[in-house]
Amino acid sequence: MSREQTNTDPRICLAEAEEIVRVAGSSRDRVIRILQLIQQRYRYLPEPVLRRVCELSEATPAQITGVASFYSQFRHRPVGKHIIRVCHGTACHVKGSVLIHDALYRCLAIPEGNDTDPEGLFTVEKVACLGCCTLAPVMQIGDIVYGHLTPDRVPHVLRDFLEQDKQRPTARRRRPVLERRDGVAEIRIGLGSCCVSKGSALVKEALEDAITRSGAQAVVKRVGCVGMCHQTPLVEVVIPGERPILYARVQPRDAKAIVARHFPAAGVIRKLDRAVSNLLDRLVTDEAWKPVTRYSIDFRDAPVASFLGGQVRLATEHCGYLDPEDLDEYIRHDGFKALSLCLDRLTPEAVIEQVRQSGLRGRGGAGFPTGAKWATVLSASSDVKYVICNGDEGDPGAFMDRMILESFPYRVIEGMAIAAFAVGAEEGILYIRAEYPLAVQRVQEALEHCEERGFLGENVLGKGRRLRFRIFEGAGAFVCGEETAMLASIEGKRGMPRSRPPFPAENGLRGKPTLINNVETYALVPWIIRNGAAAFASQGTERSKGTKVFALAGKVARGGLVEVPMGITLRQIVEGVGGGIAGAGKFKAVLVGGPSGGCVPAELGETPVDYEALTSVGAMMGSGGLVVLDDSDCAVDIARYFLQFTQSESCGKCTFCRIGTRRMLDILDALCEGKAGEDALEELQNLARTVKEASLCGLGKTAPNPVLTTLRYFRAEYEAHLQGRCPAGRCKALIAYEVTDDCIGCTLCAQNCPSGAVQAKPYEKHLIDVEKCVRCGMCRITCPEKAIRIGNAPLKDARTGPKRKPATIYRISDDCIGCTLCAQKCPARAIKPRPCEKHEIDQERCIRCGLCKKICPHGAVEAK
Amino acid sequence: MRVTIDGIATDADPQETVLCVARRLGIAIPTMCYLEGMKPLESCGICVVEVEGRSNLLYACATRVADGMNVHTNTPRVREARKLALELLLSDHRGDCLAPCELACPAHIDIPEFIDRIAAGQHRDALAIIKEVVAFPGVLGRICPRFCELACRRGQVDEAVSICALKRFPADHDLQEAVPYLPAKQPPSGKRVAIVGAGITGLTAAYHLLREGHDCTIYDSAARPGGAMRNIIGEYRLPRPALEAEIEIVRLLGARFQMRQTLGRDLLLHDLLREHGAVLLAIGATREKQAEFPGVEHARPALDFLRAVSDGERPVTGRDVVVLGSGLAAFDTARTLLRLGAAKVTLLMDSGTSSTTFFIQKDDAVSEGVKIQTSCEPIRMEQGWDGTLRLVIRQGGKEIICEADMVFHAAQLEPDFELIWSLGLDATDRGIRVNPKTFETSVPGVFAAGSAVKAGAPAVQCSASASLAARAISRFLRGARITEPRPPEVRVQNTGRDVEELLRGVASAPRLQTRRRRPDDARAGFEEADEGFSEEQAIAEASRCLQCACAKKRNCRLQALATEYQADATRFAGVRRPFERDDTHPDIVYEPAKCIRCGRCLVIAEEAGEPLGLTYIGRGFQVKVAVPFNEPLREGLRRAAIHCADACPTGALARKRRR
Repeated sequence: MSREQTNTDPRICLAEAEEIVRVAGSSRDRVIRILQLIQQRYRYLPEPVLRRVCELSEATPAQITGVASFYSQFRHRPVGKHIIRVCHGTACHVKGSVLIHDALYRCLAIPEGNDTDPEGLFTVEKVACLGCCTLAPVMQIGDIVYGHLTPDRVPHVLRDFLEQDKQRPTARRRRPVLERRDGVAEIRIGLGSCCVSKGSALVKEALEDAITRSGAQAVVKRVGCVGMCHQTPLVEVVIPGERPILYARVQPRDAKAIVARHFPAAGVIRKLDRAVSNLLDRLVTDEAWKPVTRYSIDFRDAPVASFLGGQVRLATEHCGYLDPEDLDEYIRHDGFKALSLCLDRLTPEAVIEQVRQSGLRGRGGAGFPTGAKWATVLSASSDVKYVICNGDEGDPGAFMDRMILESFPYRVIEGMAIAAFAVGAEEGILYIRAEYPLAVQRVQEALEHCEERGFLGENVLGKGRRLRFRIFEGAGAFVCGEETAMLASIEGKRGMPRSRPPFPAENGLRGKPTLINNVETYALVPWIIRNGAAAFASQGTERSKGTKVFALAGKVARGGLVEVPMGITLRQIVEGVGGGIAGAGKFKAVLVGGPSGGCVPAELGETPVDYEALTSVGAMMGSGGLVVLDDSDCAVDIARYFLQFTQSESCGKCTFCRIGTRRMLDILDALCEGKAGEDALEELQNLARTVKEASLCGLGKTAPNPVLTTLRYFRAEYEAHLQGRCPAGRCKALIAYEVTDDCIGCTLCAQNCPSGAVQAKPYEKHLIDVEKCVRCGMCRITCPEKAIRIGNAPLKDARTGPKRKPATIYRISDDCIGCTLCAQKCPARAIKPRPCEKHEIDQERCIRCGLCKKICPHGAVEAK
Repeated sequence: MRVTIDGIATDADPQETVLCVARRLGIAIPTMCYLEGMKPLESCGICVVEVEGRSNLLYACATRVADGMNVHTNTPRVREARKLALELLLSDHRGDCLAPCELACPAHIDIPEFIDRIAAGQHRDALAIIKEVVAFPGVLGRICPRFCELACRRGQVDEAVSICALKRFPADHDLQEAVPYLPAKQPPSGKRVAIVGAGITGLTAAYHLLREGHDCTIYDSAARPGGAMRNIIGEYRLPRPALEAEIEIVRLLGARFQMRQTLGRDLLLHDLLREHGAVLLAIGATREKQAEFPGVEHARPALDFLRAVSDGERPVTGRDVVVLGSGLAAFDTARTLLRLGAAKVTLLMDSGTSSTTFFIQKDDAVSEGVKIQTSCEPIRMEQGWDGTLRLVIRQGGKEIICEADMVFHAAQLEPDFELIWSLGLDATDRGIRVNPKTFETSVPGVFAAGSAVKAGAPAVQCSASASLAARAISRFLRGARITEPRPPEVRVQNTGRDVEELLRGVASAPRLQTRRRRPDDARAGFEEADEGFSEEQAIAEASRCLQCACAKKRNCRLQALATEYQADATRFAGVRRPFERDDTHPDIVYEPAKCIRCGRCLVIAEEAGEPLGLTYIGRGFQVKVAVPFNEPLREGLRRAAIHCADACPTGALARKRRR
């Protein structure tokens, strides 16, 4: 950041820094909050403001600079007017998000190394996951989400957005909404992030509008996530005494029709509405750019039944009809019963015993027995103890925690309150990613409601116990999901982990015993207390009890959030719950546990969901991402994708993770570009093994898992890459598009090709220039005859690198006196400088440039 | 509480770390980021150990001991992980460990250091540094083929630093001192070494062995010591007083000379072996390899001619003379002939530029008037009726006829193979076969070095091999293992773009020329043609040196460990940080690409109460250490700079050279 630039920013007013520090607090552990507020104000962190903050607070320049540059949320340069967030979640990746990203850069003419277009209109950001995996690939501009993107649609999307932006009303009308009463018909609408991002807020407005206009006796009710993300926005019409009807993929313009169909109005317009509502029964294909189909679905329909039928709802109990923000409704559904049970009748030891007997294990990934952890914290002697809820879910393609926090905030709070009671803590912190604004907002409101009603506060339920919970917003660092890194982050430091032991249970936040559990773990606790340990333990396998929530995505027909009993097989999830592979592909593998997990091949589909079983096949439970791959997905590319993620999220503290993951990625990059040396696989395996063994924290220890499992199960694919082939036709450098004889000579591909690589004469078979082709896949998408085939890239010299260049071989003769001149000049570093000894040329590395021969003063380099 | 480390059980306090306990037990666990008395930084990963019952490796610096813990600090798995950590660090560690010049120097003279001393006016210190490895700096400073200057980074800006002339300067300067520099000697070891051959190899080996405290006797068939330095190299290149002065030092160190003793005739190898602990054969390459073409017998052998001149004879020469050959002797013959009055001297070289002597003598020879033709292959020679010699050569596919009054043939030299075989030694096609690392021949106790091993080796290489052989002999005499000398040191060097970065902003300063006689004057007699630098010139030229070597080359923790673990610095290729240098701070230099992000300097700066201090910027692979808010280094480190530089385990932060 250049100082001139920031100093001339006219908006900067240093007095605001004082206000921000006053609001956030001036102690060292408030730094992240202060930075968040500054960024909220300016949309980036102006340096003069940061310097002023150092003067006003306890924060030091070193701390501020270190922290501000650690978390990816913070920006150091002014941003464009609109921010485009391109999702690079797993589901989007397998559906080609890279092509979208490239297309955006092309379209906006963003120079390399930059993220904002020259006019400062758009800033392009990569985000780990927008949580709309079923709309993949997606991007978000402002608050509008565009899904099912293809590279050719990018310019249209940008145009569409700018138009929408122009028309956007400055303020929305407020409409009177009917008070909710029992016995009144309800129109339920999902308002989880994934629904909102797909426009459910607009649908809700439209529905309310339609009700007001028609005078229908109905209320619109928000409900949490239904889990059927592949169908959102979902609208359910529930009329007392009638069978509930579920509408999927509803658009705002459908609202009128839905209202009219179920709540017939009198008068002239009635007939018209009737006609419109008939449309709902048919499949309607949208002619506009969004190819979304809408139809009503029924719980008794086979697909829905199998989606919901395989599931067991404990953490997500009452899913689909509980209003996330309504405390009374939560209480009506046995909410806080468990907490009062604990406070009334149970000792902390008895609560822990219940949890222990239930067999509950940490849902964050490692599966540590929850009861044992609680007991450790309880037995730790300290006047102050903390409970922390780990909601820093950052895996691409996983959004279980977000959904639970958004849909069941009270349940998580209750679970945490029970834990606090059991371990003897009075203070609690919910660490939630800042990327989950809705979750933060809901939990914040829920905390306020709980305080008002005495579920939290100085005297909980009148039993004299004190419980204070607050939210800590994370700032965008995956590694903060690691508990010691999270503690550092809460203390206002860079999120760098430390080695354990000592475990946080003994020495945690500010050196005090601290209980850290995952969101889902806490959400299961009230159910266990209410229904008894035995009921929970009756689900699942020998060592893994209860249920697990998964975010199911990828090439599966029905993606979404599912809660399944432990012990269910992966195949049952993919084929039963998920409805098998979407399209014509073949089930190839499931990625379990995101970037820390592994790739389980279809042949091992009978592997049950069980901590030990998954570990034994090289994967791990992880926090719950399940991405399904079909045969068009490349195992090497997937390993590389995950490693890219963990590598970019490495905190940089320990050598093994910081450089080790980078070197693994280098090898994978080389493989995907056909430049890898013969010993690449062996090297990769050795590297992965040691990085796994010797990294400091969980991130580094698990980062090699995707590599190790793909190497184990898809070695043939790796070997094909060594020879310069990508069997799945995925790796750009190894493929070439070819026009088949099906070509009718329509020139559509040529018109859409961004690089002018298609030589097209009308009515003649077209040709693709391999040299010019950028492998964006546009021709394949536009070709009406499917006449573009993916073939192997021809063996070239310039593109595929030096490896294949057939040329002279250089050797060093006995005339070498070991002066190292050749080694010093070698551009490929192929000569090891061993002074005074005869040098040797590493033929693998040598690029045959001949410089050594030219340079050698003793004529000791021979060319053959 | 009982813990076991490497099989040693001990009592330990639960607050102690594995590292503490191991150090107490005298078990060495390597560390880089660990700072005594501070919270463990746990960044370098070099202290990993294996603990029974734990599947992962643990960081000894941060792992508290537990009752019954069984730790292994040196298993193959641990060593492998440490080696990998070092290789990973090295794969992203950029900068020069050694300067290119000292790498290129076969003798490994610490060139940047001695040049630095010259620049500071400390000429005796400079000489001491050179004489650590080289016994004849005055000689080599005149005749060395100067590989160092070919490698010099300065050469990419303007011209290489005159390293060779600078090496000569302190030696010449020392000649004017009342008492010459005499290196320190170890106490007598009571061991005796016989050295056969009093050339540069034998004398250099004696120099080193004497310093080690061994007793040396040098045998040579000639009347005076010096070998090729005396016999071949003309006085106009190497004045005898300069040579005698340096031989005198060897004598002063206690060498005994037994001259006019020929091996195989006056001396028998087994007699020598009986009387000495070891024998070094430094017999050089003294035989001329006869060329085979018709009429070769009309050519005079150059070696006999040069030897006669060096003995003070001034033979009569022809007017128009041709010299055949491309080695050291060919140039010397040609230039000597000019000095003896030849009107036209033509040098026909059979090979081209690959000859090492070509570099150093070509310009001088040409300026004095020698005509040089390369790639000439002699076909035949005949003598005309008037005694004129007609030499037919093939050059570039064409046959050319040269006429001359006299033809000298400076044939390639080779060792006396008959002697080698008669001594019962194995041979290669270039000389005595030795173990390249220990210089042992096939006969136990007998060593060989120099051009006896590798005919045609330049003087500096003979000197280098002599000092290595001396080291091996010394170890042999002490009964230590000589099979494996020190493992090669692990180094990284700048290449490509890094060099550009290094050289960016270097102001051009032309290379200073030494004081030379005008060619016409030079060819008129046997006075030295090149008189070297004056003190003023030497200091000015020394300040042209860019000091490329790492300031921490002698105390780099990373290099020391990498050498210990034999890490392969080139194992991983791929993305890495570019080389940068920040020398804005008055006391220290910062080279971020050498930083291993251990975090020591951050902690030290914070402890010292620096108002700005240092911080990590960014994360992951890109993380770097910098001053907050892009402030300059001098602002960040106002008090703790020197402390940080000393604590830095690599050359990332280092003290500036005083100057």
